Amino acid sequence: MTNLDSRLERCFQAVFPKLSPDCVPSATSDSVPEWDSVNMITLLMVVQEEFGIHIEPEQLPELGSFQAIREYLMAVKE
Amino acid sequence: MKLIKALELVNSAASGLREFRIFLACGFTPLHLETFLAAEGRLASMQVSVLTGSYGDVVGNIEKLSASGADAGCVIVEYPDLDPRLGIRRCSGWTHKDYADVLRTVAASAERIIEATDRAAQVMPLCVLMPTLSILPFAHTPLSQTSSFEAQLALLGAQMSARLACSPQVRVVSQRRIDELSSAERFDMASELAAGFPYTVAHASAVAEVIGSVLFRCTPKKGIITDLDDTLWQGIVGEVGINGVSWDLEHGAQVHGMYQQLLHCFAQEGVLVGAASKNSPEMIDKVFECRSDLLLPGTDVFPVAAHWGRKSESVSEILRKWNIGDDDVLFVDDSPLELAEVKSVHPGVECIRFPRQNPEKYLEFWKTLRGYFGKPLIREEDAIRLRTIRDSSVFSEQLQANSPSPDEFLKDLRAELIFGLSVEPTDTRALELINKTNQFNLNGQRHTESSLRTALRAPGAFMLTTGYRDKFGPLGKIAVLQGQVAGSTVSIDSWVMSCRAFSRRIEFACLRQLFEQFRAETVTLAYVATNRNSPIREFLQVFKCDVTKPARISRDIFRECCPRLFHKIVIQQNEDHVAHLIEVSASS
Repeated sequence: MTNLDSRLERCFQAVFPKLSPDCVPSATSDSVPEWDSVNMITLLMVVQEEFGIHIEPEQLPELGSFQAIREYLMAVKE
Repeated sequence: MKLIKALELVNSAASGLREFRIFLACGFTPLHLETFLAAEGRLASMQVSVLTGSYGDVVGNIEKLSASGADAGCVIVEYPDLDPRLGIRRCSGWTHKDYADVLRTVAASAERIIEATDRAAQVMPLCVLMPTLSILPFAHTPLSQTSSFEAQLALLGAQMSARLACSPQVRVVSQRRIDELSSAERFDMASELAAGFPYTVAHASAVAEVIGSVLFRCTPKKGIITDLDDTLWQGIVGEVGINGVSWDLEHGAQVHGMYQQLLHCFAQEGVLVGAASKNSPEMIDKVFECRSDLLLPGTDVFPVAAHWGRKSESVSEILRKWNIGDDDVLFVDDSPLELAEVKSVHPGVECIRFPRQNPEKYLEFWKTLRGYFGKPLIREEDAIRLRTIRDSSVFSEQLQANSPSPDEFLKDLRAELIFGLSVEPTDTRALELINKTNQFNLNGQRHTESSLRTALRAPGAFMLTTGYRDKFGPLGKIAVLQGQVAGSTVSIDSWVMSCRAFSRRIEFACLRQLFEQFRAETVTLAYVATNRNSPIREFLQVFKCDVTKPARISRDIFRECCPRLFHKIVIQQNEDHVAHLIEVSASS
């Protein structure tokens, strides 16, 4: 597991504490019942704070899963 | 605190933590502020749940406080709460021609908020935070110039703070402290538009930290022990003489003068001030006697432990005379060696270095001391505390000298007990006694304002406070009993008495008062042994109580075992309440 993955998993666990660690990499806004608009805002704020980035509002609709956010972070890193 | 850290704290296991509910009355979506507040509660070892109201209705939310069942309320006001035209979520096309109308609306909203807050504060402890976000650039003036409109808005906000701060039940959160912790960008425009939450994460964290320190504050320390040479004054008095020590600007010693002034303020606020110095006692006596320009008079300091032994011995002596624990005390010295020596013997004492040669560090030192001793209110008892400690010391010496005939000594005291019966949960002195007394404490139970209020609403509930004075002077309010009356039985849930009041048989007089006031046949006491309450255990054993369980004392046993009492009794009570209690007891 890369450093980015473990840090992103920590963000997800903080916002969705009931989500089991095994389910984090496959988490989506459809599969996690607690993934509502408020928690979406919180998740993205936590990610921005953790990775020191700013996520543009127009990106939000595309970031509805762990994998999508992971790919976004990889792209920003490059 | 980072948001991820706050979330992890809030989500961590909470077993054994005291529950504490806060009603957050604000006009915006609380979002991350709610998380940070709960996290601050965890740092104070509490499981905090945050209740909230409706978006955009701060007055309505304040009015919900009373019925919310919360333990405390927190009111946050931002400018859009006073007039939505001062926010960005509603555009009404207003211009400078509408300034007067905006100011009228703000003034009217301010009145409604003040009235609602005052009403809510009668029911629960409240803190209020006035606008922390800048007025947005609606005014016509250049950015570097304040307009009359902005100045009047700021004035209305300041007037609100001033009026609310006058209420003893309301704590106005310090803007100065917010400014210290939140200097970066505070307003998050994107978040305000998207979610109705106007704060940046960093600002929300700072706001929660300051609110937390108001709502979850630790009990202030009771005493400060100060070094003298190069701390209270500049110079070593044994080397430069009484007139050679200084504390003014002319001698480059102004920080010492400021420190003396601070300790003088502390003494007037009820903090015990003692001195520990490696000096001859005669020399120190002469300084206090001859230097009339001292900003900390000798009457503010007791005791002064001046000798050539270790400072830790001085601290021990002072703690004995004050009769308080080492974790209630701060020690200030300019020498790291002395600080380390005292800390090694008294690990509970907070040891702080006086910034003698670093005046740039004095402000931080000053704030640190204020942090340890700050209190929301100053009461009559605070002003007389040091004098009563000094008088108690004289009392104890005379009691020991008269040990063959304590009855004669006590009779000669001309002691007076002032009993007050109330259900007034806002008696802050009573609450302070319940939460700070360890030795004569029935069971160690502590109360918040809210839990005491709840206890006093029970049928037959009462709170009996005891004030004392004798020929040595007043001790102020020194004991509190809280319980219920049911039939011919009085049940005591809490009983505390200040250690300054020992050896005067006041506790016997309190028990006698219960039998007489309520015509009781039995008094039961919810005694639980703690690490420090041996004095009350010894008292109960006088009445042959089994101290492995709650105690029962019958009127007959009391009469048999009670020693002679010589107090003059003065009753201050609400006659209606006494009549009601007697009526409740008769019908039970």
